[in-house]
Amino acid sequence: MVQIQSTNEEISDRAKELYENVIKHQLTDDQLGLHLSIDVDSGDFEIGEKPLETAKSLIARRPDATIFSMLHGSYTSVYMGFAPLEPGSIVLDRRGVGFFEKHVKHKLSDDELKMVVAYDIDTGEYEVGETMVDTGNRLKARLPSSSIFFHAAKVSRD
Amino acid sequence: MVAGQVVRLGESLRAAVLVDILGENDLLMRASATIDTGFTDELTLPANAIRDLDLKQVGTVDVELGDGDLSVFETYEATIVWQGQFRAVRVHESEGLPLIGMGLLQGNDIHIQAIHGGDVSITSIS
Repeated sequence: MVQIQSTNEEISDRAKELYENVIKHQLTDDQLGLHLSIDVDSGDFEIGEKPLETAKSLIARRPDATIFSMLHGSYTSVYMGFAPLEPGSIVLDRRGVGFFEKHVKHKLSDDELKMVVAYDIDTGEYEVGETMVDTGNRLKARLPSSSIFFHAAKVSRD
Repeated sequence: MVAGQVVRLGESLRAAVLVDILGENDLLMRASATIDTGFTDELTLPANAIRDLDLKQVGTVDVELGDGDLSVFETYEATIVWQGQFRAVRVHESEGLPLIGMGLLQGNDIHIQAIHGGDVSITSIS
């Protein structure tokens, strides 16, 4: 199937059209101000308290979703200032690169290698789990002063 | 507690904290993020940083900028260290300085000594 890549502006426009013509008529006034994530391809949507959770619930149901996020009752849900980027304000720490392959990978089963792995480059200790947050926090609970990195098998996002 | 410092930005000052952002690809990024109470969501990062960490896109969103203009931004999910715990946050792709906003600061007590080199602390209220 050929998929046409929409620009961000087209996604935003299509979402507003879906909202005005279809989605808002399915929602109640009690839900005004809640976060809404809309898949502009299918018209499917999720509504909830937290914007990231709302988007992720929709992605869980529709992995290929093209999502626009807004509030029920307002297209704009984010306000932002701006300051120019300064050199050195972002630093990439590559100490984990190679460590996983050398010290952790051989300890894991094939099934574990398909999951998220949190590992500490000071001790070589690790945890395996479903999400970075849960897996990382379990390792941090065991090793509070650790230097934790993450490794996850690449899955196709096409 | 999250600790930071007030640093100079041209002629003005900004309150900055270091935020660790983790990628699934054995990479960790440390960003000097500016506290922006006029920013309503959690975090912004430039496009290069998002590509380096290979963050997963979770949508697009209309953003109202400081001059009142509307712009459509791409949003991503990132895992950061916040108050000693890993936490999932929504990241907006923006070419400026990394910002942390009220979405992340909610539930915290913020102190800023607004002089060059002054202390910044963000403490959980609960």
